[in-house]
Amino acid sequence: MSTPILHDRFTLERTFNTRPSQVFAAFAQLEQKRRWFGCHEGIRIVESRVDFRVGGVEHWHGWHNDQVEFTNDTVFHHIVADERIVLSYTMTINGVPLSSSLLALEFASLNSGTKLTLTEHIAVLDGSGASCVSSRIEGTGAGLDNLVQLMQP
Amino acid sequence: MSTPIHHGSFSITRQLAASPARVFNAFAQLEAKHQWFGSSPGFEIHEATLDFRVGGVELWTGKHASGMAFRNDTTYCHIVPDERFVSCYTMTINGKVMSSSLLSIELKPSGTGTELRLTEQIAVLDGSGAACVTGREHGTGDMLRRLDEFTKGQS
Repeated sequence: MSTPILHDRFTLERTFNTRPSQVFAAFAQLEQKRRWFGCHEGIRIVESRVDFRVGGVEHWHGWHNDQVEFTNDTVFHHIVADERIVLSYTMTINGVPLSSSLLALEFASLNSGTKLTLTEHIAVLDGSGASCVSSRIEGTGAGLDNLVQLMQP
Repeated sequence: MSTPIHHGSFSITRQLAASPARVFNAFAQLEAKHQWFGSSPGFEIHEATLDFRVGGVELWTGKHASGMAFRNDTTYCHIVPDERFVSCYTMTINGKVMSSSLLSIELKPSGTGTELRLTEQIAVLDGSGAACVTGREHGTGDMLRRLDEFTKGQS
């Protein structure tokens, strides 16, 4: 029997000095996303592609420290240009499904910049439970911090 | 500007009379799913397609007696036959996107039947907030009752 699925949710917020359209583009355009997503130390991306439209898919495949193989398969469910993106994605580690998530991104104007609110609903599939959620919060936060750096004018 | 997204979740556990394999098939096979999922009172189904595999999609469109048009687009994220699956679905009402949800269904043998646990994690997109979540939970409960009746009646 499979172990029970653990369900959880977390929210992260970041503010940017750049306009919502620029922050949105950093998620929507692959060349831009490659500059901040998945570029942590020890991560080597071997494949990435995106078809950014409702029903379209995104795929990332890579290695961590050349030992752990991972994939990330996304489907886009809802897009309002420069305002919000809702997608679901499934991660696998060494071929085993780790988690499926619903991810909502909201881009709001804040003075002359942007407030980004990211909410992830996660279903942990491999029995790793709460530790999977805390490492996801950490990894997602690190990705957003990269993006904040990148967006500095 | 769009209204903020409202996030919610609910979980329903039900004891079903049929075996996990039979309950699983009622989700995995379109003909079977039509008999309970596609047969809510007052709803008329126009289109129904199902490709039940990871990455596969499912589509239901139709109309309620009130004149409301609905569309349900599903993508399958994770499947373990007879045990569980996770999907993501988006509901559209009268052409306007209402919600996107992550749906987990877990089945385990219980006596001669099945304990089903359904968990829906929902992002409400149209501004209808908590009322949408309550309505969804209510509708899902009715749907599971029809699932039990349908799978119990299969010989």
